Amino acid sequence: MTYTRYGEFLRILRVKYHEVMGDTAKVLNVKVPFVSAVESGKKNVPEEWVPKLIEHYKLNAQEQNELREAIEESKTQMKINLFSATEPKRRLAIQFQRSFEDLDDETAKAIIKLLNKEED
Amino acid sequence: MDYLTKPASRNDLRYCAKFFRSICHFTADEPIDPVVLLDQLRDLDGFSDVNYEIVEDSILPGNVPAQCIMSEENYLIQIKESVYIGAYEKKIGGHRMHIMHEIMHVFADKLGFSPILTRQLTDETPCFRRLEWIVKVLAGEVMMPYEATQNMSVSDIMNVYGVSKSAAETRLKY
Repeated sequence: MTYTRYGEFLRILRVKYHEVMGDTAKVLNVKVPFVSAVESGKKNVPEEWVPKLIEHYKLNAQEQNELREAIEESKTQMKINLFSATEPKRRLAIQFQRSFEDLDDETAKAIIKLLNKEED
Repeated sequence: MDYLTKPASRNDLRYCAKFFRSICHFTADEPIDPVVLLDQLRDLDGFSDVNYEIVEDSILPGNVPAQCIMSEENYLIQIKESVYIGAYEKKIGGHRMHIMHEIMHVFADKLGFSPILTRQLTDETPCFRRLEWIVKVLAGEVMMPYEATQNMSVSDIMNVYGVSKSAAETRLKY
């Protein structure tokens, strides 16, 4: 186990502000094992934590961006809303979910390139 | 679980404890809060591979307050929620010592006190060859510096260094 980028970001903030994980749990109004599980990447960062952390640590614009990037990079699960998806899109999402674990890096890069084609 | 390791005297370990304090930039006699140290560890020279997590009590066996899992890549200190809260909120000496004990497992390993897995412990194995004894002594020496506590009473040691009565009594015995 290693810390996620989010976990490392929070750890550095705590050291800077002379706090410990128990203090973070109080700020977020949750139990310490939950804070710990999120920081080690076992659970996603709940969205409602972001404004609380920004306010408590008085994060400036750059730090807020760093926090959001760290959260994005530390995600261990992602949800795709299929509510209004067309049939081909729905099939693509399901196929992607099925194939994800077996996907090699080369194929992943090729798919990213394909999806980014219009942006290029 | 205890393991055989290379020998060390209490005096050797006393020097090791001083060395640890210097790595952490603590003075020779200031009290250390192990809960605070958990977050600071990764910034210390040689300790960037140390992670910790607080787990629900049911995750670890009943008689295990905390543990240190070592792998080739890093160290993971796991602490029961009740132990962490006891150390953090209630400042319970025994709980604070449990946390320092696990930090000392990391330090002892880095000093070369690794388990000798090819040889079993027996009833005749002296304490100075037992890894758990070495780690226990290191934790006590780091929490209660020898020179600073020599002329203190048990209650003074408890109050100043935040340790249990039995730890303070052991400190004065040796």
